Amino acid sequence: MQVRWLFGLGMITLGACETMTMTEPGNLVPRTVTEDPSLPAITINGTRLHAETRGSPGKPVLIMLHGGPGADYRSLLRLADRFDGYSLADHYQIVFWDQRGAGLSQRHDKAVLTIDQYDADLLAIVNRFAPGQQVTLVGHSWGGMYGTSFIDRHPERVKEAVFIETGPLRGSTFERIKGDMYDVKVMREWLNDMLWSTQFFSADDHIRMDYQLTLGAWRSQPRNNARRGPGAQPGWRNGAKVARYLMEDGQDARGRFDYDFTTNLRAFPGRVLLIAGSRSEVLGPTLQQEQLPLYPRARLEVVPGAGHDVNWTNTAQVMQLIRSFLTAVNVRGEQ
Amino acid sequence: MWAAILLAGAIPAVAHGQWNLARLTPGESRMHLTTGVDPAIIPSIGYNRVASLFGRTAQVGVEAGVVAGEADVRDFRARLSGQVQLVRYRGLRLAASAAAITRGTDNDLFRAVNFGADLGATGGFYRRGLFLAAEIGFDKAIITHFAHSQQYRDENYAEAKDGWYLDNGGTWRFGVVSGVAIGRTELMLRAGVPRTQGGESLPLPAYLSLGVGVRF
Repeated sequence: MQVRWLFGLGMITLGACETMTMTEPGNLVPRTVTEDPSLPAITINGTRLHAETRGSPGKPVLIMLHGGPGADYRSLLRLADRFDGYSLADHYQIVFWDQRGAGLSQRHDKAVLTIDQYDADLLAIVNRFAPGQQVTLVGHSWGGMYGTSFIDRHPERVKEAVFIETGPLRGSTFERIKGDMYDVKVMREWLNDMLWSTQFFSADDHIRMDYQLTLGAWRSQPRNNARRGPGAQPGWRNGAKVARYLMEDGQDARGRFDYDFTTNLRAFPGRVLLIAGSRSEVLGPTLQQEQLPLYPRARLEVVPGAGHDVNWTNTAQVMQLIRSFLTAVNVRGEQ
Repeated sequence: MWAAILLAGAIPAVAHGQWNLARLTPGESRMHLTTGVDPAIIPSIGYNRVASLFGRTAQVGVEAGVVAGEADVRDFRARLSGQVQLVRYRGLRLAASAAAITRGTDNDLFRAVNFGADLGATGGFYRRGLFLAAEIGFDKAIITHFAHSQQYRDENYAEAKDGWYLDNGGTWRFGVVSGVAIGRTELMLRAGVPRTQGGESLPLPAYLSLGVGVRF
């Protein structure tokens, strides 16, 4: 009898509380373009992408490629600001966009989260904003890998590129360094917190997967030496299915990375600027120096004191390098 | 919050059938220590009391653990649990278990407190010196309170809604449990595969737990 009373009292009290559901858009992670029509968006290849432009149409087109895979362009927006009287938006029409399934773009399932689909999406973006013309690419981390893959397949569509802290361009390289990228020691606080979070909710849908990835992975790569705490690089949403399935698409049946974004790179006549943060231990200067010869005409610049988030923490220095590169007639030290 | 406590408290207490059913003697108690990956590394300490319930052997217990790592006590689990033996045929036994659970977690981005319930069954071959059984169970995360830090709002989502969330899913477990007894001491091993409520694999695709218990 007492138990029945307790149960009844509990249900009444519970009913008086305002409860929410994790799957309601906007409760725990931001709404995407399919959930918030006020967000700027374009439609290509059957998907709705969060996108906006800076600078006037008619100027040369510069396309931004964010990291992840699965992250968003929020931390790249600073690259459109004015530094020492110079803004990329004065000289280019800059296209910011969240890649398929990532950031505030429409969510998708595994079938259309492939490297081939991503290539088709970027080609569609290029054709939409610069039909029949070449574009300039600026990418960070995964964005550098993505841009390099695009150059490898469509060298004629890219004039030049700036890749910041690019990830491994070959699966064999990824296999070699992945143990250094992720801090997966068994007693790590972040790892146990991430595993423990599965007791509070189960990641059975997009929203809960995205939330779990955001909460769990934020300290997973300490050797990036990215800024932590106040002033850290922001993002809107981590697309967990993108992070998982796009990576899987670059693996063989045994789960070993076997992709190669460099098979045709020697055919690219354009210039490439690689930028690294000196304190980025894994994806920083050593890896960029190793990957430099894969591009026919490339040079590397290292920003002192910066980590993997160099584009966010040292934007003025990065912009100075980009400005110098894009306005130079000849590239010093190009190979 | 109090509603959830009351709701959780109203659920009959019972729990993981991880100890030897053939050694349960009404009136005895057991202290135990367990550790393992379930789903994080969580060392726990517990106390069980064996009693007779409507002519059946049953045990009730409490258990508390703190997630390893930086040994942050805000990453915790406490369980009020029990188990009742339903069927016995020669060396074969089947037991049902249930537990009311509260757990917490905290990092720089968010803090959460959850109230849940666990229902399970264990069946297998039991002798006083050893046992081997299969287990199936479901741990339901009934209600969770999320509170987000300023860092989460600055770096990720400024408009994240703090409060109580219902229907957060749960975790299935399918595994085996085995143990040996030496005198008053029992050693126990559990291992298996967890799945989300929807059948998805978890970041860690297996659970493993080791325990030692002493009767008195």
